[in-house]
Amino acid sequence: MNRHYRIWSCAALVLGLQAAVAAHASAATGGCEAYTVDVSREVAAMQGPATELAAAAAPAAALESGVVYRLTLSPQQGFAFVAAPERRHLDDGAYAGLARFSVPSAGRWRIALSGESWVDVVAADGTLVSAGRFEGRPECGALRKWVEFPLAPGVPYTLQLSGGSEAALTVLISGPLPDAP
Amino acid sequence: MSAYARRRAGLLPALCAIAFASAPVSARDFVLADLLARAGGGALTVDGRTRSALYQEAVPFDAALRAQRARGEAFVNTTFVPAQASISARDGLGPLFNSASCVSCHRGLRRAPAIAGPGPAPPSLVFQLSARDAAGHMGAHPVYGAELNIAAVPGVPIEAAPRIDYSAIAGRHDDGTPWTLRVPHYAFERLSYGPLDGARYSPRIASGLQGLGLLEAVPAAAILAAADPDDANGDGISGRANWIRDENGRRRLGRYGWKANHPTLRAQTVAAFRAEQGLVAALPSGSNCGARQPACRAAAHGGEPEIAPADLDAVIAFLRTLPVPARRHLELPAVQRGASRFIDAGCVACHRPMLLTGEKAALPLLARQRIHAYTDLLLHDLGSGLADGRPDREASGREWRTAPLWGIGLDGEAGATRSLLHDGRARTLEEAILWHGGEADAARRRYSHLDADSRAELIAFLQSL
Repeated sequence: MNRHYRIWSCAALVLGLQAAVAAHASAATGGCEAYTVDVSREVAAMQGPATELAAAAAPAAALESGVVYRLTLSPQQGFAFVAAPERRHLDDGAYAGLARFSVPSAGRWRIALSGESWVDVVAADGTLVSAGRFEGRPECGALRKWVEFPLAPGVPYTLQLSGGSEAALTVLISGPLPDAP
Repeated sequence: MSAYARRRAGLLPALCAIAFASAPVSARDFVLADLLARAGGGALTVDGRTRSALYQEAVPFDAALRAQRARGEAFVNTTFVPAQASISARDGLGPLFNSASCVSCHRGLRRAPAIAGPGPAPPSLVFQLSARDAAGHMGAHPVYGAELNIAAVPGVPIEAAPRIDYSAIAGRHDDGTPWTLRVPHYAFERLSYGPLDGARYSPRIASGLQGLGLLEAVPAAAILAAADPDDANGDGISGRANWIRDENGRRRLGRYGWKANHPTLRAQTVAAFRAEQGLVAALPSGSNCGARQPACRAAAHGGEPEIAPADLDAVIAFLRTLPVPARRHLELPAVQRGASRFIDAGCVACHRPMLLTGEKAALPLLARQRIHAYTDLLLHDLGSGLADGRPDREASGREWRTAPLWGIGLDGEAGATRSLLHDGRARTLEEAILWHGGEADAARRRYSHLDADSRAELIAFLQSL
């Protein structure tokens, strides 16, 4: 192999890798700009490394706000929810999960997911926290949907996921958000 | 006392209030009382202010219906997946489709969210297609079928990626207040199966699902009684029925869809499953793969049919019993004055304030209800500005079914951007009014002739629906 060939091969490989990385990033973020609120920070964070956790039936896993998690879910058939999900979904082929969390300050907190799932936040007394704004974009690979909840500091909440079609999801809890316009 | 008289008696409080203000009671007072009735859906009226409002049971259903509704609700909420060996009920998505679940477009069972601006068309805005065959008859497009699909299962090319751009037109109300409307323009990129030669297309946005069963329960005779296809009374408003041949060749009155192009809730539901999710919900509706879409035809399917008959019945039971949000802010003088503006502008000629459901209905709870859907379920020529140029059954390219207005105030807070009219082009209630032409042109001009306060009152009235 002559020197020129090696240089051109190396350059082609580098360019190819760059193109592949760019294409992957584009596929992950494409369509995210269609969100009506700025979720660029969430999208960027959710494309980075994530802490792996099992969101098992008993809500043993604890989430911290501002940390990206990759949650492994369980088949929904026979899953023990802590409260009836606000929306019914077919159990067949669906995934569900539970995780504990609390937030350090009062306000609106945004829960962002990478895939399809119904999101409930359950208070310690078993009642569902009424969700605020929400939005979903199937075309945004990194952040499929977000839902906002008004949360109080130091209160133990359960994040309850149901009706999902994927066995694992990337999750990010962020906030508190500035007052809504 | 007859059932009708009893329903009239229900208006007594409102009529008494009006009578004290201006005796004697006139026909206009009855219309005003209907315009200010709180329970738009009769017994199926609920407090509509939460995101789960339309999921509520308006009345206590019996155990069998409750179980059936629960099953139907699960289908409506569920995200379907492509055909798989290990899943039975929720697979069969596609091969070509637009959305994986009903609620991804009918969010919260309501109208689709606003289209923010130029860019890729959202899945909630679909493009129905037709083309003329060699014999001159309009039918599904020979390659792309009855609707463009923007998504597909792995291994199957999508049909197209529609894109929207907007231009602006501007004008002024009679008092000089300026307004601007956005005019949509569509382009179809990534056409995978050749050009859309000869196709006529009609963009249609996902509607709210409130009160669907009540609309089905209005007797055809009551709808047809308001039809005036030749404008015999000379009021400039015609109103025509769209007639549909069902699978047995019977002529049925169209009620559902932007052009009243489906006669029953079942027909509408089966068509939506097929076109939007690629799910065969009843035989012989067949798959939505065209003859020249071999990868689509070769892809696995989720059963025949993919939605079992009992499950389709459950979905229809759920949809049929969806409630209607209660009116709000009726105590506000601006809303009350707005009701008068609604009459004076002539809106009530098509947006009928009151319909009675029949003595018999698919479910007893739907019968004998006094409802305020603000539609006559008839077709009207709305002018060239809104025309899609695509005939649909007996509807012309300029005709649209009078859109029901119930719940419209909850599709967005006052001043919020919305997705009104058949293609979501109108961002506000005022923009929607200003797009009205044809038979509704006189009403639009009357609205534009109002002063700013009166226009705001009419909008406040609409916001209360």
